[in-house]
Amino acid sequence: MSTYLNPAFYAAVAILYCGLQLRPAWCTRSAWFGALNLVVLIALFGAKVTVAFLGFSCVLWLLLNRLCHSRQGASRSMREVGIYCGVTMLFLFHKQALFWVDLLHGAGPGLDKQAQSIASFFETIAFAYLYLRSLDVIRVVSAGGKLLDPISLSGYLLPFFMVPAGPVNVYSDHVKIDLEPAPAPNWTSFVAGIDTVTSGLFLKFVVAELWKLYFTGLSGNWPASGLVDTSIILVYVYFDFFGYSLVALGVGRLLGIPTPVNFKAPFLSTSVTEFWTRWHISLGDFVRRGLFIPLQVLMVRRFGRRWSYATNLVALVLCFAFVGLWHRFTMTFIAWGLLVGAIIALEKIVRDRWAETDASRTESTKLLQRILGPVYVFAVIVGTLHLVIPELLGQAR
Amino acid sequence: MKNCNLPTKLSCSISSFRNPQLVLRDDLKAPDVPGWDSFNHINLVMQIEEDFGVRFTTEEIAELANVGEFKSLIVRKLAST
Repeated sequence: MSTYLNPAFYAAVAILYCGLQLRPAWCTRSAWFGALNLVVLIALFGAKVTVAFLGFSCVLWLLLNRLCHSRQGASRSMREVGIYCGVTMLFLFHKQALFWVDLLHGAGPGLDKQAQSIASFFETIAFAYLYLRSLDVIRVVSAGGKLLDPISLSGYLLPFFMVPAGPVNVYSDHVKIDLEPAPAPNWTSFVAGIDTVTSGLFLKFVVAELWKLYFTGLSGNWPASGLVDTSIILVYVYFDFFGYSLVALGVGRLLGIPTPVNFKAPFLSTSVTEFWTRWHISLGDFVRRGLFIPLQVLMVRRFGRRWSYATNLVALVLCFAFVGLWHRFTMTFIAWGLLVGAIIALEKIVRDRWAETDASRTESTKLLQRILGPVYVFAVIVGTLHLVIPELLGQAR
Repeated sequence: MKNCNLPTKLSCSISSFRNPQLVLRDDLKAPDVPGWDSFNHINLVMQIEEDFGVRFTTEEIAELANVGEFKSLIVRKLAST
């Protein structure tokens, strides 16, 4: 059953809403939330999963704590790289779990069973999101940022209401909840939170599911042979994901836990570049902070400002390759990422040339762009999505 | 270099956006200025590093939200050098 259809989820939200107001003065807000969040995780996913997750958080905390106390230099850099590699190895295991289970089958008594149970644990806690949050913590802490205590850290890494579908919350924002006074509960914010949650539930369980029912019938099997089918699936994914994100956002607002906005009318975008700043915004922001800017800085410093345009284009394409790999670790998804990156790079070149022309500044051109832009964007998104749809649905092309 | 007036120097650096009417308010954000995208932003940051003789970390660049924060960051960097 979907977490958002589980009555225990809403009972947990209500209990936490009240529980967070009863925070003892000696406890920080992040630690209090972290502790209550662990209780909710036990109620929703069981003690075994929660203990395993807490173990992961504690190991990450220990490694980061050692990193904080080590001196600047080669050994500190090696430690930092080691932590990045460690969590990335776990992520690769999560993404290639079936491969590992198959490989370990027969390699030793019960090894494949153990691999299977670890894979199922990663699936339950949506490790793909946990991985991105871990990277964000490592990035901030290794740059000298504050390391939260292990319980607070667990509250950042896996807030129960972000388990089903993210979003990718920001570590620096989570740290700030201890620096600001706790917002006093008031009717307006309560209603706004409930309104966001119910809007999300309506989009996910009414709009998206009715849309799916209309096109697939009771079988629930998507046809994916043509571009029209892909566009139908894209609309479903939008309402489904937007709905999930709104529920998480609403719960985050109710509990006063920083939760990023994930969608801003992406289908009104006039360019593919703009689309990716309005669709799954939290992932885009994570990639910008954690990958694009470091790559930009690294390459501009290495090759000089003279080559910045070219190096920025390369950084852009690499970032989209990462986004593809994050979704699924296969050649199809790398190809999808590279293709989207290349389209955005090309769009950047064309738009920069176009901006220099007089025609770009006329009102009629701007109006035309506003009308035709979304059509162009929808066509490109459907076209690129069509590449990966069969693999996502487990169908042969 | 360090004695230069900060807003004036920052204006000079941001003049790369070729907008003479641009007023550097503290709450001014990159999306408010046509042409100030992620590509030009990194050039601007590198230009400011050269102009002021400071060096920013990627973390600091990533967290910049508006001109006011940029000014404060430059002041902090100048103070620490």
